[in-house]
Amino acid sequence: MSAASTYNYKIIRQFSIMTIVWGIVGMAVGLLIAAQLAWPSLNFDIPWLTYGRLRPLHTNAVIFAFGGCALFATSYYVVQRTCHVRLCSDRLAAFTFWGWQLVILAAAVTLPLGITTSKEYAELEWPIDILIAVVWIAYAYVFFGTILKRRIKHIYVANWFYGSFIITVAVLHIFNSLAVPVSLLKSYSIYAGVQDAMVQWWYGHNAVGFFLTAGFLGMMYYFVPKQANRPVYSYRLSVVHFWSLIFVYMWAGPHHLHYSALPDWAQSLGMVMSVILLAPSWGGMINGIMTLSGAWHKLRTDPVLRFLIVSLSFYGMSTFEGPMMSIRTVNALSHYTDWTIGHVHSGALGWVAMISLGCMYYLFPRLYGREMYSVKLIEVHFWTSTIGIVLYIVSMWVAGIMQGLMWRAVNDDGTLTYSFIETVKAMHPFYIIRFLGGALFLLGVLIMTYNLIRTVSGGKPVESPVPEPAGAH
Amino acid sequence: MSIILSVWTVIVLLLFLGIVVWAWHANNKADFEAAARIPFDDDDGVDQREGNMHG
Repeated sequence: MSAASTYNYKIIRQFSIMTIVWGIVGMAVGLLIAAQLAWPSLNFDIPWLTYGRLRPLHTNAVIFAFGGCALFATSYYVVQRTCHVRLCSDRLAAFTFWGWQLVILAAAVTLPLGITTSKEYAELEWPIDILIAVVWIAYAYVFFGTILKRRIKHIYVANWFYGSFIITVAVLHIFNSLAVPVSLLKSYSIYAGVQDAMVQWWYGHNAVGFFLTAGFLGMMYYFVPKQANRPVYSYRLSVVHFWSLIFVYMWAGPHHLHYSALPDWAQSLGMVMSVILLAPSWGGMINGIMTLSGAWHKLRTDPVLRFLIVSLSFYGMSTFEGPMMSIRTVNALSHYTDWTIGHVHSGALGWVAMISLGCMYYLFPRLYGREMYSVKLIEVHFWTSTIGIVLYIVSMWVAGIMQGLMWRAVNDDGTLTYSFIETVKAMHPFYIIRFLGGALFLLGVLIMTYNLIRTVSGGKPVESPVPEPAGAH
Repeated sequence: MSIILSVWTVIVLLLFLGIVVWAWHANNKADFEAAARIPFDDDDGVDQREGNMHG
């Protein structure tokens, strides 16, 4: 079959495989640093293995390498399948793959060496930032170029979410990374003081909003209906969901800077917009879950669907928790505590990772023309991961709230009740439970990897034909 | 400056309400239902479960 009459599945296979590889790497680094918090000697007194250097490696690996590859893979799949055309450029698509892997390798080398801009989730130094921007613009070209040559008149809603994710991440990355280089590996942000903080958290929160939310909602709007084999609950709601998310998300960043030098009005604006954000978030979650309305029994028999739907439940939980934590008085208790870490992981493991892994279970059989080797093992993976997440977030809730209460406790004479080291000691058992939760989650991914290897090794790469234009559409 | 910001806020609010009205307008119902079926207009191969038919 000629290339023009098939979909480009090669690029999807490449990104899907790397999703799993980087997932294992990123989560393993996370597990190591979780162990270091419980047993500090695990840094072995080697600078490259210290918590401060490995923590950004963990966040970059799971967000941009694991999550990023999952987004590339699924967006290329969805845009081709809902537009009925092959990607507009195979070469540029291949460039996005190799370019993105190069970015990840550069991160894996520079971060342990301590080369960092010190901006959270934007630690990579300026030459890597430029490479990211170039790859991202190529990604936008491939994605929107494919949409432009589509043979289906309507642009399906999943593509709107993917498209907004691509555009917004380009804008956020470029403006937050503006810096003055002083050498090949060192630069200084062009922003100073509180402006720098505000730009950083405008970037940081919208990285959550668009990289970790809008893109994955694109997954939801395609893969949940497909796996459930029924159209999304309300397409009208999906339109309003999209625009409300777009109108509101941009303003939520200042909630990261409560009680800081940021003007009070900006803090209040961030708080109010964060609370309003509950509406679009839950609208989207309800739309995804209600797609199963009338077919709930499918959850009993289909573990892949369970991954997708449970991810939406965690999305609902963490998007309720988030607005609550953005309220200034709640934030006074939660900020700087492990509650924040628990919140982030209920989103990152529960929502982002669960939906990505569910989508990978959907994709691999179709990319290699073979059913999954073992449905039983998907079932085992599901429960291992779910129990892991629950252990993780519950231990961090307890730890975080205790930490916050101990920090603010004062005696009658106004002195602090607890010294800082006492609060650190109190965390110890919870750090161990968190480590166990993380270990279970990683174990689940390893079970999945075995299952996928057995699936792929018996199959061969599929060349899927582009359907003929449907006259009756 | 603050006048411009206020006017802009009102414009954006009206724009959003316009989108809501458009989304729920009865005339567009059939179009949206057709759009919701786009993912089912193609056959992507593997049936993972019994009784799973691709539309």
